[in-house]
Amino acid sequence: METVAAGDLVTRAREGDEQAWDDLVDRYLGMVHGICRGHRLGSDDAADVNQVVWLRLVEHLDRIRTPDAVGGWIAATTRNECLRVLRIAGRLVPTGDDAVFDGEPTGRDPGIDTGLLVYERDRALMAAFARLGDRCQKLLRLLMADPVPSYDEIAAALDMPVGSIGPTRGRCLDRLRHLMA
Amino acid sequence: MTDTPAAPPPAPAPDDEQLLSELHRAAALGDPVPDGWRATAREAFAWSAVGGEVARLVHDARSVRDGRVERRLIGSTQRTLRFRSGRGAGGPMVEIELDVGADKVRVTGRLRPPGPAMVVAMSRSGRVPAPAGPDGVFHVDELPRRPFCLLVTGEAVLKTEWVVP
Repeated sequence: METVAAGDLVTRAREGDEQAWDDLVDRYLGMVHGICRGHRLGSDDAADVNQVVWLRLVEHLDRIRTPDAVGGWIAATTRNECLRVLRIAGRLVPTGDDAVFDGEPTGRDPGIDTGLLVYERDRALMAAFARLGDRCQKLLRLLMADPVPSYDEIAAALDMPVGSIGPTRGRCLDRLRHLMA
Repeated sequence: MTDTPAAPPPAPAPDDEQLLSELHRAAALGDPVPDGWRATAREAFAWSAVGGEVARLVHDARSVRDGRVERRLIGSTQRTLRFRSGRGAGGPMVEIELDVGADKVRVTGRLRPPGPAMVVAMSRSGRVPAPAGPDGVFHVDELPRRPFCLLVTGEAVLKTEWVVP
């Protein structure tokens, strides 16, 4: 598949190329959704965050210093807006690192309409997923996005070092296997 | 016996890639990007035509105030935001107090430095004008509780960042 550099899309969008903008949307919309779901926003709040992220990107197109890193900018902006919504609603509960892998689930709503899941295995998988700790859910949500964000983008979305994504991913998947066993 | 379509044998524990691919499929089926998100994101491009220097959000806090409850929306929370345009610490500012109800927002704002201006609250559902007097104070009595920004045309022409109320 031909991959146009994100920086080229930014440059063309700056010049008014709407197709380039649409391509940016197609590339990063799944990531924005994954970050919102990872933060367990309700559907209205998540839709508002989606809208604001893209409006902010339009405002900032001319000022993004590293156009190739636009995905990281989008990831960090989405995360910040999710945290802002949670904070304003008084729902922001800091998660200690101890609770990352084995913690009790911090939310009740796995955010999945299980009625839509056709396969029993999917149902079991998502039920196990909902029992994962907060940070694992956030990370795996991003790895489930389509297309999957780069590690740089994931690092920006989760505010974690790139080097710890791989090991964290492995531990989260181990935990998920354990919950399904 | 080999062709009996019985229950599948217990599957071996999937490796990381398999498991991720299963998660990917389950999420695509059960939790897709909602309808409308793509259109909203694409439409945002049209807003690039709306001009004015962008005043950045530099302060955002829930405010707790006693008294003055008579004008509050029922069940509302209060929030104070400050936007500053990008000319250093001395740049023009917009300060607003949001009175956020279940589905409506009331805005009380002040321009700094003070001065008359036309303020327009913009959202996807329309524009609401709110003139500021010589003291720089303006009011928007009722906005839908959806993302909005303010366009200020006075001595300075600026637009606040978009916010989720």
